[in-house]
Amino acid sequence: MSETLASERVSAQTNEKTSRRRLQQRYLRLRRNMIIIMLLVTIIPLSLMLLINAFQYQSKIKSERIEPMRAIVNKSTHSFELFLEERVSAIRFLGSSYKFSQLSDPQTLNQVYHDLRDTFGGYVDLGLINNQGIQVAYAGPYDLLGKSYSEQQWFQEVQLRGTYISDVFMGYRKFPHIALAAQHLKPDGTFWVLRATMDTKKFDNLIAAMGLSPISDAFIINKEGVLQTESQFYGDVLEKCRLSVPRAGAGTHVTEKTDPNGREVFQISSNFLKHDYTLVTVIPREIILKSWHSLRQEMIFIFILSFVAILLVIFWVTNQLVKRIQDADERREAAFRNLEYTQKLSSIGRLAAGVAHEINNPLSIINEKAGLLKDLVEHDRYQDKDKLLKMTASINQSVNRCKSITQRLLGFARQIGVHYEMLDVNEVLKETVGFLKKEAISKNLQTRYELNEEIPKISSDRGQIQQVFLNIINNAFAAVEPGGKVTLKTWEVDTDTVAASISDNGTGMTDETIKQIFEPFFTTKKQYGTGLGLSITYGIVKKLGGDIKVQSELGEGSTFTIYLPKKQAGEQNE
Amino acid sequence: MNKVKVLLVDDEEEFVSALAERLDIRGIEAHVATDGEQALEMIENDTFQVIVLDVIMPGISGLEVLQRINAKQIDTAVILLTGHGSTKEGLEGMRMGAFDYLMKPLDIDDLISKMHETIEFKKS
Amino acid sequence: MSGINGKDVEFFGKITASMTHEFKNVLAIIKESAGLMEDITKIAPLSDNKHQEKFDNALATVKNQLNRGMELSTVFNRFAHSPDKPRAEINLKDLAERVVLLSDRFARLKHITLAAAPDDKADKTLNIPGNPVWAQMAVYQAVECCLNQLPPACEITVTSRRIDGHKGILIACANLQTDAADFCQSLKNSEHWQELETVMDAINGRAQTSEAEPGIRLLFD
Repeated sequence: MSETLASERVSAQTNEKTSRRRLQQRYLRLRRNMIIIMLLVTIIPLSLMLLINAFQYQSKIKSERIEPMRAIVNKSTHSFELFLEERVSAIRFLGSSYKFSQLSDPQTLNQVYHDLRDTFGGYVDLGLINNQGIQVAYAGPYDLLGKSYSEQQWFQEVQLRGTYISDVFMGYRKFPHIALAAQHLKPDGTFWVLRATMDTKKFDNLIAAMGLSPISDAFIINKEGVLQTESQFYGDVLEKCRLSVPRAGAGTHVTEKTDPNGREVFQISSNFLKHDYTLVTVIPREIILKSWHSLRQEMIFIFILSFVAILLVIFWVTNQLVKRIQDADERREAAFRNLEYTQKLSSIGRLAAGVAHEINNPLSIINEKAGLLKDLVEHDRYQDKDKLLKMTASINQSVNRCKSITQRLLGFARQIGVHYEMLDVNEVLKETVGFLKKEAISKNLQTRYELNEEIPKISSDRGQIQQVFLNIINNAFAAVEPGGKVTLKTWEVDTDTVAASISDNGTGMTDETIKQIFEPFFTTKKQYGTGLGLSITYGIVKKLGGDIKVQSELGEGSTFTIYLPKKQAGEQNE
Repeated sequence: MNKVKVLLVDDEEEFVSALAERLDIRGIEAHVATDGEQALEMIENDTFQVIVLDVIMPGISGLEVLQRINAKQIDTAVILLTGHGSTKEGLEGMRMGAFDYLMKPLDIDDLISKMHETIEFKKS
Repeated sequence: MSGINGKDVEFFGKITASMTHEFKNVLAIIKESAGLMEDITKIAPLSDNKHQEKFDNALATVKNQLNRGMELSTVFNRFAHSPDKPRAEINLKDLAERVVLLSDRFARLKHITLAAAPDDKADKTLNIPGNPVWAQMAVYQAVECCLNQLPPACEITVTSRRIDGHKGILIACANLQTDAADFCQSLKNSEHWQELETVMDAINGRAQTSEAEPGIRLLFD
């Protein structure tokens, strides 16, 4: 009876350890899963947003920064064209204003030349060329009077177009020039050409006026890709531009590329309308995207900060949550256990009450019989003896009935709790063997007692001691062959301990078996036996404050010794 | 001589026979039945002034007997006997028309005075 | 709260077992008395006065024991039904009286007198909501705590009354033969005190030692 509860307790202890571990794992897993999900749910959108924004910001910033540049390039292109137009117009105007004969006069030409120079600046020389292509008059630093240009390309062109603007060329004195010519038709169909050369300083000025940063570059190239102005990074004037600029159609074109120096650049090229020039502006990517880069840095910084903050918050929140869940779980479990115990106690109470209730009937009987007895005796003292005896016998019977009921109640009470009393170990031993009398007789076993009658009484729980003895003696009886011998000994170990041993001359155990004998679920009985008996016994003995030891020799037999304390810890001597 | 005639109904034979004898000594004619069926039969064939009825019996319970007595409109007062510590059946019985209830173990003087009370009540 | 579970079951078992022993004693006495009556009836002529007296005495004993048996039956019945509801209105006077009846045997074993205060000294109006089993357990623990620290021939009185405005039960000890302060200290040091505090805590009350009575004060609200 107490075996069920004790066995519950012992196996519950081992179960508790494994379930506790499993529980811990469950909470770890829960925590991990929560963190992962929360991280995914927050970080993924955040990252997506970051990426999308980054992408959009980048292209927006890029276009915002490119547009002004483009406009500048456009404007500059126009400025250049205007400039060139202006200069050519000046020459044409001179051609219209003066007659060939006037301009043929070196003095006049010189004067005009100086006026021209003073007014406009940049003109290097001025020459009058007849329809044969001979320079008949010349004002300027070089010695070009009488030079023939009849074979030159530009001479043909100026006849076709009326004006001519040359590409930049390296003039005398080794600096870049540009030649402008205008044809003037005479009424008689002949013509003459006025030709001037200009330095390209104004070009540089125009380029400078673009206001680009020092690491940007702007230059003009002709249709062959030859630099017409100085380039910072891609060659000198009249060198082939190292940067390949595609000859796209009219308008301004923006290209992102890597330049020959390995820099990432934006290339804005604008083709002149009237001349085969292209204004190329090269702006390093970092300038265009400078604000993007700083924005990007900020975004990354914020992202990292957010990420860290999110991480911290997630960990903290998860911690709190899991702790709460754990708390709730524990409280629920405690409530269940509470409920379990409440129900257990309630059902125990009912059982106890039920058993106790049965007492009423026999008590009533005793009551009536005793009452009747009294009546009989009072009424007539010379009453029939037999009758009186019948009454007393009846009372006795009822008392026995009550006793069996109370015995049941006691047994019941013992299985639900520990109940200490002073008991004689010898007595309990003998009583227990008494329970197994039938067994002993059927196997023809000899039971020998070597009990020390002087051993003091101990304070312990009778029911559980009985259970322990029952288990061990049962095992001993099972271990011996028919005709075998079981010896029971008791003695006082020291002032605090009493011992009882049960020895048998049975099969004995191996060392291996001895080591595991008290383990739960360990059994040598292959077909039957739960393996719990001895582990429960061990648990009970331990709980009573004692100890149990085993000695065995294979083939000789085994001895189980149970040590019991005389009094429980904290108990007073009665 | 007008002896009070009562019927004692209880499944515990020892108890009810001792009680009957004690009542006899005190001048009350007590008849005994050890189960409900027997009791009802006896009630059919005889008139009693009081019926003392144990509520908890195997077979038909005391309350069931009471019900049947009511159904047959037998005009006899009923005193119920209940186990010590359970008043539930007693109260239930009184709702069903029993005069009163007493707890076991009995005090015989209590029982006798209760019986006289019942008879007086019935007379009025 | 969880520390108490299992302990209340143990308590229940302990009291049930104790009550059973009390019953057995009652039955034993009845049996003996009946046996005596039997002997007298068999052996002696009933007209003999001396034997009549003995017979009558034996019969009276049986009657007394029967009454006692009924008393025990009643109190045990109530006790057995106390776990029916985990929460109920508990009358402190009833509680005190019941625990006294239930633990009387333990006191007798130590030759200590245990009694509930008489009606004129006990407050019967004090009611608290709580777990009936735990409440009984608490008062029992307090009594046991005292029983374990007292020498024989002392008296313990259990009274339900207001203590400093709180609804409570007082376990007062008399004929101490030791210093009150020492006694209270020994109460606090005992293992039973820990258990008492655990139970009182579970029913939202508290326990104190008191040098005035001396003894233990249980405050329930």
